[in-house]
Amino acid sequence: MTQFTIYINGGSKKVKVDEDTPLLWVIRDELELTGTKFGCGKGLCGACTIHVNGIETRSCQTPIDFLDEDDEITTIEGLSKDSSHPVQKAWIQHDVPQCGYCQPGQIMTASGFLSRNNNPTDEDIDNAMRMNICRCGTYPRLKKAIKSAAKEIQDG
Amino acid sequence: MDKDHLISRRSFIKTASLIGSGFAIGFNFVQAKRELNSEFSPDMYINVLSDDTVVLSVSKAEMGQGVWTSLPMLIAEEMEVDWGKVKVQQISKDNFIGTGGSMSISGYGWEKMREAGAVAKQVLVESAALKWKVSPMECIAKNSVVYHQKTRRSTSFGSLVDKASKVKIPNSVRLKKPSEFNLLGKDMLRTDSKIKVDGTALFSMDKNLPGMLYAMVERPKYFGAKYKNSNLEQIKNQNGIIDVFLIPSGVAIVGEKYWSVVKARKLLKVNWEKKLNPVFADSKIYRSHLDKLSNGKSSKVRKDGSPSKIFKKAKDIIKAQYYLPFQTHAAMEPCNCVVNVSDRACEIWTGTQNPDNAITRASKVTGIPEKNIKLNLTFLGGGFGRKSFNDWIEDGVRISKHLKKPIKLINSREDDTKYGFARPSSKHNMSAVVNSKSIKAWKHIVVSPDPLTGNAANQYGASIPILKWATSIGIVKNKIRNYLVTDGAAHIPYDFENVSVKASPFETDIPLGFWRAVFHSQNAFANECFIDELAHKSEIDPIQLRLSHLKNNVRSTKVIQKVADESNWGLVLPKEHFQGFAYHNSFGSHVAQVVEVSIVDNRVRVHKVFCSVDCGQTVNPLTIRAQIQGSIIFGMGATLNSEMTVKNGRVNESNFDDYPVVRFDESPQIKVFILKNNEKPGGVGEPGLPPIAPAIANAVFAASGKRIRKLPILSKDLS
Ligand code: FES
Ligand code: FES
Repeated sequence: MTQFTIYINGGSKKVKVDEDTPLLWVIRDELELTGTKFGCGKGLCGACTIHVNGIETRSCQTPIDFLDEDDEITTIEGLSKDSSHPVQKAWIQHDVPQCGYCQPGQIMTASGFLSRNNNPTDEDIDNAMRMNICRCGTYPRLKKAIKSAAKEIQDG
Repeated sequence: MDKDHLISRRSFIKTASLIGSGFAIGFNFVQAKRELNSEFSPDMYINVLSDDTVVLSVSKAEMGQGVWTSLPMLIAEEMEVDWGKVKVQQISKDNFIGTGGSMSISGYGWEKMREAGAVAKQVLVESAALKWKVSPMECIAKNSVVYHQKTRRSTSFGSLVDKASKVKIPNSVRLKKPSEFNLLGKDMLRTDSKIKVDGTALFSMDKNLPGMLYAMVERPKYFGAKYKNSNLEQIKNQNGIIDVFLIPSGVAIVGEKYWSVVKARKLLKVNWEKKLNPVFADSKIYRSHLDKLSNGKSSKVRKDGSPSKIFKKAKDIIKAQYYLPFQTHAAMEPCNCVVNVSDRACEIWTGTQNPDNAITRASKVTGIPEKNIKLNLTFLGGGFGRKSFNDWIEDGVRISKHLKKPIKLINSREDDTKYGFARPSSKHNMSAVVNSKSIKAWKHIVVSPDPLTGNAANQYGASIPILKWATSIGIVKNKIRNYLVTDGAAHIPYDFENVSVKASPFETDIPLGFWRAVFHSQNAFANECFIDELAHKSEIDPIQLRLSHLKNNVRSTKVIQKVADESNWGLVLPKEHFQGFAYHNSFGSHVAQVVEVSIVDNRVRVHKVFCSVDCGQTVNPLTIRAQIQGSIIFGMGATLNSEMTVKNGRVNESNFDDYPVVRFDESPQIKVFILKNNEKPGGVGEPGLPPIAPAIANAVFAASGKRIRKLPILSKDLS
């Protein structure tokens, strides 16, 4: 096992794990930030999505030793204080979640891509969101929520 | 004045609140055994607190179907609480309610929840009357306040909690008439959204205990195989591994960290002794057995008129055979649990649809009495029927018992796909006689194993002693099986004069289970594709043919006409777009759908789904819409994307790459129309699913002239 220092949600944390441990399990089990979910372990479902330097990243496919020293991680817990990120607000307003299990991943994907493109076309949204599975089928409301979040981000 | 609604006083109890200063009304969601005994232990509470908040403790599992919102709405409606002051909390009790069969509201919630709300209101009104020394008849409650109009006095619910200790549970309450509802039938936002968007909602996967170890189970490679030997001694020496040992379902690997367990498991080599002559444990063999049985003898389930006479005399019999594959559930959260077994007690955290059974099984495995087993019900990351089986909980309990330490058992996605309880693959032989644009005779033979009396009985039936006993008697067993496999086939809503529905169930070693909408998903496909074929052969509009056989069924006629109007059925569509229709009645609700598809490069693209729903008195239309949309998308996956296959005694599929589900960009525009009436509330979690597969198949016929008689629809079926 190796000791690592990682920057996450605005602070630095020390962990001792095998160097091939995926970030998903470091975040969930070592740091006990359990909002990030395990769905497939193979980069297929997006439930484990986090931001690394603002870019949406599958934490189940990212071993901890892939990180550079100054990489900064954000998880659902660090996205905002009190669910105030436009994406989270839109999710509540549009009654998006059902079982809720996929939603932290959906939110991290949506917030990541909207930060680069706040005026997305339907095709842009499709391309970004097709990486995240929702087995409850919340897609129709996800789509509405993304559009209204984009609007709020534009209006600043 | 309406007659008062008498309640059994013994089914409600008033106590001090356990969660704050105030009082609580306790009751049982279903009439539990305890209610009949003197010892009464409620599984739900309405807590009225002095700060005016009302906390509703819900004991039913929330797996996305919105019970955290809809059940409290039922209480709040009768209690006259300000909805903004209502909070919801999950409670753990030793008597739980299972979640399945679209039963949350339709089955037991409706009346009991409303009664409880009315009881709480009555207690508050009487407390106010006592305080003011007036007659309770002169007081009314509204928006969390009790008023005495004569003296213009008012007081909030919270201010009455002390007085309430002097008031008894009433003998009778008055329930509102539907015309008096303020909350029921209105769109109410979910109460659990905030914790689901900030990552704090607790799924069992998220539970951690001090000193907790991680576990996985390597299960038999083939159905029914037995452990021969393995290199488990060597695995014990792997880094971070605490122990490797046998449990009845396989080899348990336990380590300090999940990742160490994953890595060690890759090195584990187990030799399994295959079961001799496994029964139809291969898709090809199974399929030919379906064919064989469909041509053989079958048992009668329903007979109206004289179908055989009509078939014998008929010049022209229209026939078709339909085939449906196995499907697995693929809930987003793989099965997992946290268990802590000590000498005298056992505590479990998990998301299960069948909590009572989990406790019974944990008690059996540990020898610890049920009263010392605590099950903490967490949110479920999807269930769809899979989480009724509790197999993973038994594994977790055994592992923790062996080590006397807290453990978290996590199924990988591959474990979840390969070791589930699949929807049975079935075959449907249909025949009919059509004469002067009317269906004279209809015959449906269902060939399928059933999930309850076969192998799964040991899994699920274990909790239902009566079922175990009943299925040990041949004739009763056959009745149950025939009834199960023809659910949705025997009770077709159409008024055909001559009907024959038969069943041909059989056994297999493939583990089977309940999948969303159970047999309705298969039988509706056969019914609704076949009636479409009959319409086209007889040159009648498919919707008209159905309506002509539903003349005495007002609800189904209305629901069908609604969707036909909204979808512009039969009118001009965008270029290369085609429509298909299907209707089905299940779990007390009527659902009709029109889908609009196009076919590009031999691939079906679903653009729009129009769906009308009559589920009786509505509680929360937002929840209904979400459930219907979700069922459509879930059913679309089983129509166009996925199928579970079995080869040589094992499941082929493993993860979302080879069991692809519907993704965001494939999701159609879905319009849901809810018909309003005051009929008994029906289910909403499942009835949206059965029509989607036949509606798509019928649209594909309209687009390509090709009849779809087998799911899923593959590109090669269209080329
Ligand atoms: S868990 Fe990482 S993509 Fe599915
Ligand atoms: S909300 Fe259940 S999987 Fe998306």
